[in-house]
Amino acid sequence: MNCAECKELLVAYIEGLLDEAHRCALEEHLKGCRVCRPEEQAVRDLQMRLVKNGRTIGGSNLENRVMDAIIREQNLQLKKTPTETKIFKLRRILMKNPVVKIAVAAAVVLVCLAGLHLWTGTKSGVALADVLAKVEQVQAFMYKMKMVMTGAMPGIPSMNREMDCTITTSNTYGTRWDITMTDPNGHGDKTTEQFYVLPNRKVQIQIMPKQKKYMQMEFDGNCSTKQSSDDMLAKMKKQNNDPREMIKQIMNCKYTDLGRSEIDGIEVEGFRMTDSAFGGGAMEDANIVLWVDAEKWLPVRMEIDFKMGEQIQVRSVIYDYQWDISVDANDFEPVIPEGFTSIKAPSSTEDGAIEGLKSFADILGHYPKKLNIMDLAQELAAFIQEFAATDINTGEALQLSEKIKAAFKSKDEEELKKLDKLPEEEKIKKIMEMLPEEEKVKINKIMEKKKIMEKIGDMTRQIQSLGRFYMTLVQEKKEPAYYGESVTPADTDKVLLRWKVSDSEYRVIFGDLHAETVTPEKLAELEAILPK
Amino acid sequence: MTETDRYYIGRCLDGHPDDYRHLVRRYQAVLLAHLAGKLASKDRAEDAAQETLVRVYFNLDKLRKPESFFSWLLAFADRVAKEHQRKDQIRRQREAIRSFSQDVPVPELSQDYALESAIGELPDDYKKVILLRYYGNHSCNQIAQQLDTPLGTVTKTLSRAYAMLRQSLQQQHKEFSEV
Repeated sequence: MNCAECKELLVAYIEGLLDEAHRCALEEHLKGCRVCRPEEQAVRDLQMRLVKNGRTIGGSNLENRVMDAIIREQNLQLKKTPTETKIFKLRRILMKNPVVKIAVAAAVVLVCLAGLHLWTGTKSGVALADVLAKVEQVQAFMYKMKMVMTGAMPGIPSMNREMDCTITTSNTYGTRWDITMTDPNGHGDKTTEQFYVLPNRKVQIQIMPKQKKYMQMEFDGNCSTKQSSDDMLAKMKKQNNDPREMIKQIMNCKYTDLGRSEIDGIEVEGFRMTDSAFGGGAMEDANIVLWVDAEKWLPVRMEIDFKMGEQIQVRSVIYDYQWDISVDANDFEPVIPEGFTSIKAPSSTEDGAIEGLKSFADILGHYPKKLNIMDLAQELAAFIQEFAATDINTGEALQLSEKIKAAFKSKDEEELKKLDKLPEEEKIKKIMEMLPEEEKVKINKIMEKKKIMEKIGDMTRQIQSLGRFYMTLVQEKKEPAYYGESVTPADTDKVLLRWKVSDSEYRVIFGDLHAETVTPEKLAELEAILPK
Repeated sequence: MTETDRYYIGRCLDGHPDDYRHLVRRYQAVLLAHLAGKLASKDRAEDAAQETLVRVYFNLDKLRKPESFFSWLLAFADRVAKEHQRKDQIRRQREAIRSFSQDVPVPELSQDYALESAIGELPDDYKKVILLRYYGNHSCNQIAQQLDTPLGTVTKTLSRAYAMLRQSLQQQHKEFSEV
């Protein structure tokens, strides 16, 4: 190495960025060169000076000063323009992303479905049969469940969610869930919900205090195929993590005995089950472990882990089982507070699926690429991200609010207050009247966008119906096939979705969303014309 | 503090002003170093940095590319510094007229004004690398990521910046000795 090369590399050298070979060559050169050594020292001196000065300056703390100044300034601005700031929270309205809701709902459904329809093997566990016999004798019991969801989706940087449930089950009255959901991104906002499954009344009720809403679903009807309400009830039991059903499921599929271990001082025996058909294709890498008290033969702990889509990981643990507790009829009496409104329940029916397909195509202009609930949510998330990014951005929305501010300057205080009390729609109308024509066009655009976002928000239920329906078809091994990537709403005669009803019948939903029952031969004909 | 600038900007715009705190934490030292060279006083640099950060906050919605938050911040700081310098000049002129014969008080210099002003004179690209490396505590890899350039370029820029700083400091030293 010569002096010029050495000089060239000195900074990289003291910054520790050189590879082994270069570093050795440079050190070798420094050892023997009287010109470069002082040069090295000079560079080191300057580095020291920079680091020292950096430290001195880094010692100042502006954080609180800046934040205080911002709050002061913000309060001042709020006082100056009481009306405008309230009206124009457009970006917030636009960015309320309904996909998070869909994804969380999907995760909850999947956890509830864990252990469902796993009729893969004929192998029947002997030990687990004893567990089941034991559990079936219990009249009422209680357990806790914790679910943690981590990962990201397009447009949503991270969506960590936590859910804590206490579940009470009674043979006499039914099942009650008390759910607390935490959103760490929203400053740890907690939402509580109650969920009741009441077999005597053939009804399922969900109460959502945050939205002041409740959802009631009857067991009768509402099924993908003709089913009695008893079948529906059996299905409901499964969907609610009833340990009895879960054990039956595990018994009916391939599992491995993990041998003995210890949990909280109790000797337990473990059973692990992994099955790729889990969760109707929406659950990937599912891993379910059940730990049973080796002496009493009652479940102690259950772990359910799986992935949804590529990036979302769900882990849930069921623990703290309390067997043979005494329960009261009142514990299972849903109290719907005054003023709560009813919302329509997502239904896993053919009609629900058609409705879901229709609303999806209405807004996005095409059918979903896949029907798996996570893929649905991700496709929608990608659309929302793109949609929110185009056309009107925040900068423009705020420029508009400047214009509105200017228009307001001529109004007196009393008039502004009156305006502020009007309902949002009228308020916006009034504001529009005060603005020049071109601004009206812009506001209209923003409002249209807002409406579409609201529509997407309302679609949550339909998308859930669609996803659930498809999931049920997969789980019940009804040979579903879906062609949303090539079939459009204009393709009247092309098969969009089909599933098997019996050996001689298939049900088909066509591109224009009409449905027919066809023979296997007819189906083969219909599918022959589809692009491969 | 691992989230990107874009993430925190989005959070602020979505109605979580408190998340601006993270951006302040991330860039305050860099900003102070940048301003100290221009304003020759630690207190004044702090005032200007505060003003810059507040102004930037209220203009976040106008930032088209959140990735370039850092460059944008420096541009704001330059504007604020210029305003402060102008005000200072007027104030000093007034004081000079008022107290004719009295000495105008020399502003309190920051720790290493020579270094800070030398940094202040660097061309933008070189300044950014020096500021991020020594005042923002970024590794060279992080700088490469932040400025969206290859690591090799960062190393070269840093080398060149060192050379310029040394030259500028020597020059200052010479002028100082001559006086």
